[in-house]
Amino acid sequence: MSQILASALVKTYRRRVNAGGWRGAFGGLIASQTTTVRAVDDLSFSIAAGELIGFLGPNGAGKSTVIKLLAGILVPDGGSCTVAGRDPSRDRRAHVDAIGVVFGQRSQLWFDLPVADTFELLRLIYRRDAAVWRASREELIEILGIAPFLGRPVRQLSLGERMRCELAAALMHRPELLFLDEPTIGLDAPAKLAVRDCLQRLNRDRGVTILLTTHDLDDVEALCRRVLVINHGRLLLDGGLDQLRAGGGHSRLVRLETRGSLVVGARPGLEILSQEDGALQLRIDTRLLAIAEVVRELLSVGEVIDLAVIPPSIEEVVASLYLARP
Amino acid sequence: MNGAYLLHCSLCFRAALSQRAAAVAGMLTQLAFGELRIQVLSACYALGVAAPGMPRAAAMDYIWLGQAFLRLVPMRPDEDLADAMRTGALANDLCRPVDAYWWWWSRAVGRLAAPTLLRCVPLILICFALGVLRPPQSLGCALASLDMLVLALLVSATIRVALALIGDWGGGANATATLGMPVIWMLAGIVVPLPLFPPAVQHVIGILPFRALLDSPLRVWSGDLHGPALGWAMLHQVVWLVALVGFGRLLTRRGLARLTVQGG
Repeated sequence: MSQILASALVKTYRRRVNAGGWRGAFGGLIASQTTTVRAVDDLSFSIAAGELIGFLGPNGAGKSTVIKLLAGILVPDGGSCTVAGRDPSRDRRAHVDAIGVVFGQRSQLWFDLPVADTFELLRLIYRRDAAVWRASREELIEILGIAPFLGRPVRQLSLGERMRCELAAALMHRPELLFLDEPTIGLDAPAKLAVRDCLQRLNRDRGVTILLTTHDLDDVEALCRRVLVINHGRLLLDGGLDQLRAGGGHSRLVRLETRGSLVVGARPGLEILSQEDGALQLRIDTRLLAIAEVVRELLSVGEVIDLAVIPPSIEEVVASLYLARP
Repeated sequence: MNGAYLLHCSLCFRAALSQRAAAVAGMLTQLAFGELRIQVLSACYALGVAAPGMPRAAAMDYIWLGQAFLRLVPMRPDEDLADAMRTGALANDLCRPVDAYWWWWSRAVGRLAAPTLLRCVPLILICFALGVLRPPQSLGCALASLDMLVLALLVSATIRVALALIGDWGGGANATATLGMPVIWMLAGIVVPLPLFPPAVQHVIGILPFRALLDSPLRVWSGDLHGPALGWAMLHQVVWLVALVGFGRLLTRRGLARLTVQGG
């Protein structure tokens, strides 16, 4: 049984067109032109209870809009979505009572007040059983390691500390479903690991369904068994991580630091991106050439000081995925 | 009402209490402008222009109290809500199982109560010390005007929220702010005490909501409004409070149905 079901979901935004400059500024006063942008365009997918799904796509792909539609914040212009049997936007208050949402780029905590005050406010909002609430609160404080800064005003917290508190604030009421929009954006390694660990435990121990958007492929690899990739509001891929790699992840960037110059010839599967004295950048198509082979050759023709093989970024994978489409 | 809204209101109040420097600056400005208004009005009384509407001493009380409670008159749409709409931070409010309107309203009340209190208490004490303001005519007057000041605070917060809702969902917060504000100030009694307006205008002013913001409570303090007139003034405040809340809720319901949350 699917817990989240989106069918032919559409959300359009009206965007003002302005020619820019003085002409645009004055022209806009007389007759403003608007265009319609389809942020979400005929999107269908289904997610079962207990899944942990990575929701990928470049900036402006429509990820956040989908999250907001599923959270009931936005009303769809077409199609429908059902989340745990509810129509999110029609039944917003009952819906958000049962889900948790984190927007990595916005804070839901009180800037000027201690985190503990926000937690107290949440207790009154959700009106859960007192014992359950206390247990949940203690548990989250422990898992996320936020006990030391509960009493500090939010504005004094580092981004990593704040994000852990945001996560706690979204989970206090024990939601069955969690939507996260870039929860690891801008975090340092320990904070990122704490967030990942928390999400993993929630999913594994309590069966919470999690849908998270991210630009961090490491997040996806560490957490998700399944990914959804969208661009221009359309679904490009729905499948396992291996499918994502196969979809465009067969190119590798090789960056070399050499003593003196190193001569290597371009051939099918090997593209020379830049060649300077002491620095060389190559792109290898792993379908045509084995990386080990190329590296062996490079080491034999010159003196290599440093060598890095860089897998494509999530953006590159998505970009190549998108470009591959007719 | 649910305890969450009450706590939200008090948290916003506490957060806003930290702005002490702004309160001191505001107080000094209000003292200076108060003196200016007193001089202008004194000149009018000396020339016999203003006499019929209100005795001179009552008009002086009115002006100093008006300065003390200046914050009750909306200077601009509710900033928290306008900012949240502009930046998309609104999304966070909607992720919680709360009634969006009461959530914003309770914040607006808390955020307004703090600066009002921070300015009015010291200003009134200073005015007493300088001997330019008379205490309320009686204990009854004091209690009634306190009630009405609280009602004025609620009306003011409600108007602020409504202005923010009209502004952003009607397409242009700045337009509403610039066009509407001076009219509101005048009709609330900031420029000239309302009893000094010509009788024909009085009828219109009496119906509009803005006198509930300042004029009514001030006149109760000085004993100018008493008996049935006091009752009517209080009823006027309550009726407009209910009507404006209803209007705000309507705007909220319509706005949320075609909401666009931008960014991120």
